[in-house]
Amino acid sequence: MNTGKLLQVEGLKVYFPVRSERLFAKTRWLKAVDGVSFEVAERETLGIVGESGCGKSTLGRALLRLVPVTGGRIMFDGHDLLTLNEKAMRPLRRQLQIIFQDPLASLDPRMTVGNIIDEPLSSLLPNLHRSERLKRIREAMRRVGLLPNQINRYAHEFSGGQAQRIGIARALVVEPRLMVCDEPVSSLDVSIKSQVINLLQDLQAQFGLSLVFIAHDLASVRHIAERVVVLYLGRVMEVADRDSIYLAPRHPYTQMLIAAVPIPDPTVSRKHKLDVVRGELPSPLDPPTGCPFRTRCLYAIERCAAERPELRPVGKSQVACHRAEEISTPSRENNGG
Amino acid sequence: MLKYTLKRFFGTIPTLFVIITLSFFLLHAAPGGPFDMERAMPPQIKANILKMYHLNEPVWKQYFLYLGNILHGNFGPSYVYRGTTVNDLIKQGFPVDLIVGGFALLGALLIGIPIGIIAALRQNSPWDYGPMAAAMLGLSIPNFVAAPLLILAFAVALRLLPAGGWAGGSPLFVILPAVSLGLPLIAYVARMMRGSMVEVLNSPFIRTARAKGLPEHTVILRHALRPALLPMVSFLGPAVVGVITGSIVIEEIFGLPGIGRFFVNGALNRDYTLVMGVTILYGMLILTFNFIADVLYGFLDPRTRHQ
Repeated sequence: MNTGKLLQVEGLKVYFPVRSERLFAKTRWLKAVDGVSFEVAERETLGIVGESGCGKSTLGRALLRLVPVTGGRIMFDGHDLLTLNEKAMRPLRRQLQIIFQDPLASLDPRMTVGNIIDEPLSSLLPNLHRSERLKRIREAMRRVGLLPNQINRYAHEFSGGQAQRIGIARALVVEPRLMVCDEPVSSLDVSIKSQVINLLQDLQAQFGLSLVFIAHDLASVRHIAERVVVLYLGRVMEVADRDSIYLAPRHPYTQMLIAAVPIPDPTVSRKHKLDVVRGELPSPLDPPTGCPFRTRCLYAIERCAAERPELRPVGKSQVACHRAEEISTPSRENNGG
Repeated sequence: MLKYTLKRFFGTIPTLFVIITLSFFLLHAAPGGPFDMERAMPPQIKANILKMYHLNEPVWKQYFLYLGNILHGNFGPSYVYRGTTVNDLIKQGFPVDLIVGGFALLGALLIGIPIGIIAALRQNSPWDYGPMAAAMLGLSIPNFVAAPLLILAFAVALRLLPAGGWAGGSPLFVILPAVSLGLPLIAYVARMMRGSMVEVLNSPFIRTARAKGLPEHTVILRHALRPALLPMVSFLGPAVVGVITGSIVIEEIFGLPGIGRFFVNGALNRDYTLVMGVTILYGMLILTFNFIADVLYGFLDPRTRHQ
């Protein structure tokens, strides 16, 4: 199967068993990711957006098989990752890297920067000579904006932004083709945020990387992603290219997320007060029947509770909503998102 | 690292001084003295004895006299074991405790740590539940119960090992005391090791190590083991205390010539010099192990060095 796509995810499911405190109670399943499909082309950046607890981090980890996957398929460059054992998976790990949300906690505090970046090299490319590895480490550090003379410092001596650069250098040093960025800037200062995002964009252009960029708000994804997947309770609500998502959001949940983006200009007031996020995320252990979003949706009707909407094309987007055609897209001219 | 080590080392000296001072005055504050007998002694004789041991002087004077002596490594004569010095008694008894306690501690670490690691790696499987249930049992049985049971099994029924005695420390005589002293320690070490290993395995940098594409044994040996050993290292100090206090009971049961019984008898008879000597020895031992733990800590976790 060759469709020119680097990564194809089909009906991916990640369920976690939740054992009850009560003896002999039935084990319940938390459906963190429930039938998610998407594709990433070579050199493309795909944004994955959703609230806390919608399963986006689990999804990102599942792509690298860092969490046990319950069902579905992950095709990477023609290999079905879920059928491979760990040994067969290892050569592919070189091409598939991830950077994490909490940069400091994600680095082994007992290792120097040099060791941290060296480890994937020496493990995945064991035939490389030591001097060549050192050259690559220094090169990777330089690329992400670290000084090569910091190579013997410990990770805990760096700030959050620098630590994230170490994380990026560590992922980059094996020259991957796809990089999963799991909320890489959520824990960083605003000024550092844009630096890191720009860095990722530069690296992508330089190395022809594909990125899967996970974020909890639409604002940070807008800058970097070409297409966006909107996730809610482990299910895809909408997939569309960047402009369609921001200028013509189809799904009520996407509209709600866009309304939640802060407007930097205080003189602009919101048009629709009701648009801002309302209600709480339902328990993922006990999701609503039918459409998972219906409990918070302004447009919910009886059909939404009875019948689960499937993802279908509406205009240029893919939307999982029974009423996508009827719902008007709120005008966004006056605030630019 | 050298600066850190020296700092830690010099930190132990004031602690030892406080131990010596506190126990000296507490001991002298307790009612009675080493030469108070049930039958009254002729006052003249008693005065002579007190004078010989400087016990007629004010307590503060005795204190400085004693400090001067121990600075020269002289713990003084025993008041109750006439004709022997405290140094002699320690020289005689301490090797016994060192051998039994050392083997108990070493065995606990060598057996307990691997059990804990395996249990953590096979979490919630029979490999986890089995040893952990056994460990719970080992912890709940006090050694004065375990020791007689072991004697009953291995000495009386199977006739494999001697029921007691020391015989100059020949290996067969060491086994049962060391095992009964070490059993609860093994259990404790295994449970602690499992707990810290499970915690470390769930931390984000272990996820990173897996994401790098490292084989599982590298993840565990290079990334997880060192931080998981940290609690074991800080356990070293309290473990030595446990071995010491435990050994007093074990010595009694197996009739070993250790210093535990000197300690107990000395305290009951107000044998000031003997109790002080043993207290200082125990204190030094605990401080030494805490010092070793501190240095190991700095080695295992670079973050502590910079504080």
